[in-house]
Amino acid sequence: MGLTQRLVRFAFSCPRPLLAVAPGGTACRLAVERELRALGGRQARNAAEADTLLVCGSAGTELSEALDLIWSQLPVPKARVAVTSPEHAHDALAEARARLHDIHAQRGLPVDKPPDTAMSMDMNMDMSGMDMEAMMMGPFGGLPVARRAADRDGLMLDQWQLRLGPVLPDWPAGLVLSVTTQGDVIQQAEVEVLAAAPGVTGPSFWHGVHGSAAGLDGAARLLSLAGLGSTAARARRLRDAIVDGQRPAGEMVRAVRGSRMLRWLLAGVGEYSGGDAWTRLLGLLDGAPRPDAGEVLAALPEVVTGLDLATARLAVASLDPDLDELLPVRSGVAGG
Amino acid sequence: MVESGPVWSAFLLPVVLAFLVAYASAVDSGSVLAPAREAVRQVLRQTRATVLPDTLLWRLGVGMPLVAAGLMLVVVPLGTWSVADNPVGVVWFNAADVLLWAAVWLAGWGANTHYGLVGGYRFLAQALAYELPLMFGLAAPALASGSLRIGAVVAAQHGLWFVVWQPVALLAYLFGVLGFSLWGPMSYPLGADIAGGVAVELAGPDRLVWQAGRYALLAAGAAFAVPLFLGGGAGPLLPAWLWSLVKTLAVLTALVWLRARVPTLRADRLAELAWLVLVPLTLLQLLAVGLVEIGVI
Amino acid sequence: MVWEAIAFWVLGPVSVVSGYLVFRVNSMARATFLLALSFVAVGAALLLLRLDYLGIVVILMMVMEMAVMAVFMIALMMNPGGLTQMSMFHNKRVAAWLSVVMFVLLAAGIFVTPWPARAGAPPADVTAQLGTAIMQGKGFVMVVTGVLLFSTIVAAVVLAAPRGRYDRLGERLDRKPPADPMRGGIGR
Repeated sequence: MGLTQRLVRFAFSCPRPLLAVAPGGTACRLAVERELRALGGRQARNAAEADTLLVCGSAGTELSEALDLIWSQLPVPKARVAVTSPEHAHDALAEARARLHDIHAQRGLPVDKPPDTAMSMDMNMDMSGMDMEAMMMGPFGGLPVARRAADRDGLMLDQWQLRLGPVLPDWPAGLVLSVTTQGDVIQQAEVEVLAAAPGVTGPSFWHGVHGSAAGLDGAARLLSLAGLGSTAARARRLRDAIVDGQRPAGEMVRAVRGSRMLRWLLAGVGEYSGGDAWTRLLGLLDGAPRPDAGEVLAALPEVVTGLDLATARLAVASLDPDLDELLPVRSGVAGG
Repeated sequence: MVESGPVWSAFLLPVVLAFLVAYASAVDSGSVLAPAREAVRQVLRQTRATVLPDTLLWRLGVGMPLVAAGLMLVVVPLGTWSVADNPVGVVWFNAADVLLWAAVWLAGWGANTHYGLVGGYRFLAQALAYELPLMFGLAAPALASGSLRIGAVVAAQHGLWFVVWQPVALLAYLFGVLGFSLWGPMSYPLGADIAGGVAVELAGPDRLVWQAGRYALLAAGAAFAVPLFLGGGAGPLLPAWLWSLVKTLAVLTALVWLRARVPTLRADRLAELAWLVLVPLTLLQLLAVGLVEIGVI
Repeated sequence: MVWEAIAFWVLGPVSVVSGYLVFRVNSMARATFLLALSFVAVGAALLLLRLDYLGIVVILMMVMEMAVMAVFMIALMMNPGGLTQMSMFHNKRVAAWLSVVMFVLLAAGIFVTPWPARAGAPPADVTAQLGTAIMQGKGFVMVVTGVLLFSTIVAAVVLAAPRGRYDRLGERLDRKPPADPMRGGIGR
């Protein structure tokens, strides 16, 4: 075993995956998170950090296109695996690891180069698969130049078009929010729901599970976005315990409710139907009944407009729409 | 008491810095092998290429944190020796941490991506909040010892460490250290909500230099707190340099530990708090120190 | 002394050339940081005069200012995204000629002035002596002036802001929390 092989094995002993969750892939995602925790690894926040592109569930056409773009932007050495059912999570991560250790295969992969700037605009996409430029050609290598528009104070500022999702850490699966921002303040937002792959049907994974598990899952995302990684990890462990069938304890609510700094940071964020991010967080941890996903999605553009990216992300995470509720239910399924 | 070391001690500086960076990284990931593993991993990876980056400014921004940390450590004494005991050591440290204002913004701008740019501007908003409390926090020990030279600050703590009667200054200083290292509650420019912010397109050796820079800044900040507030190398039994090291590691461990345990302070909420609460508090601390110095208290 | 001479003859031209390049580069970010380089070179030259405090404070302030200025240069300089040359619209030629003439006059003045020869050696604490020479007997005035300058800046921003107290706090100045587009930290 040469030196390079030894170094590669040492360095890539645990893959750092970028999770792409397809509609209907919740069960797979939970299994992957559990596996990753057992291995002592962690998720990547962006394509540059990741060495594995891990798809949870079956990806439809739109998502596959986004995934191909992201795959081209992952730095070598890289691996791409799909987890189509929860039992395969362990094997998928092992396979990713094996591929990362395979130096010959890695050397054969095409190296990421910046797109040729003279090419036409359709090919001229973005950096991380997560955003898209305005539809205007400009003098800088064919890249579009931002439009200008009045902002909330009446100043004429540049406008960006940004796409939040579909592959973003701690983001609801299957949701794409196309926003027009000035700086990082959102001026307009439009909700798109990714089409599921053919054959993927409802009901949502959380349907048959005790209510607080879904809430804990959403709360973990919100806590992770708020910077409380260790509390989020606790919420995830508790969620997995509930999914396994153990009864929940209320200590998480008490622990979070006592955090005055978190309350100060979340108060007044994303006000919708009388609650803000803080009250919704407590509701998520309590296992309170969640509003219908369709309603939330319809209200989302209004909630998010005028907020900056940070508070918008917190608002969306606190609303936590479960887009799997919108999947078509296979006829004949009992209790669907 | 603190003297400038011989010229060859300058070569000891990278060694000490590397050790502190490895220590911080090990404490952060909870495993001793983690620093080596991460370093090899990033060296073996390919760097990211974006469309029309400003490569010079990008690389400059990514590399500057490590350089700034090195500059900070130049004036920090290990026991009774420092590489250069500058007559204006406190201001030297302050100038080195201001380099971060340029560095983080350049790193965000250089990559030509949305999230990077948002991260860079987020940093400036955050920096406006922490910089003044940091400066006033640094001024308190200088005022108490009547000199800007670190050696004099250490000597003035002969009877009583400054942490005892200038706690507000120490807290403001540590708040500033977290701020310029983009660590824990002050990691707003690197937030997960913008997919890593300033670091969104950093991979391979770029990422290694950037991460090492962050740990190095934490380490340099922790190391500087020791002569400034914790009495330098003073302590029974052990030699001075060992005490300096032990105290540095203690402060560094506490800072690293904060990472996922305190919520991220967003600049829109932090700004009011910093200017209307922290700045007056640090000014009151300076007033108290001044009154003690002229003998009123 | 040799290295000091070398340092001076490197720093001086760096400062002038980078100042000139501010107007020739194709990117506002580069223009801003070339200006920062120019000021840093001046600060470093001050260090050669043993004015440690002044030199380092100049470097500190200039880097901080340029970082903030980069924001405004790119937002307000009328070129898309800060990606083309600085577009100076008002009186380009007169401004260029005026700056060259001023530079020549000042440089001539420096060479022509009869500077006194150094008598003795610099004291141990140059900063303290400098501070005493500038501020002895006027410390109180300096402090008050500093506070006044700061209040002026704050007042100018308050006057320029489009929304005043009554917009934020209502007719009787009693609305809690204030009506802001984004809530602030402590509800003031």
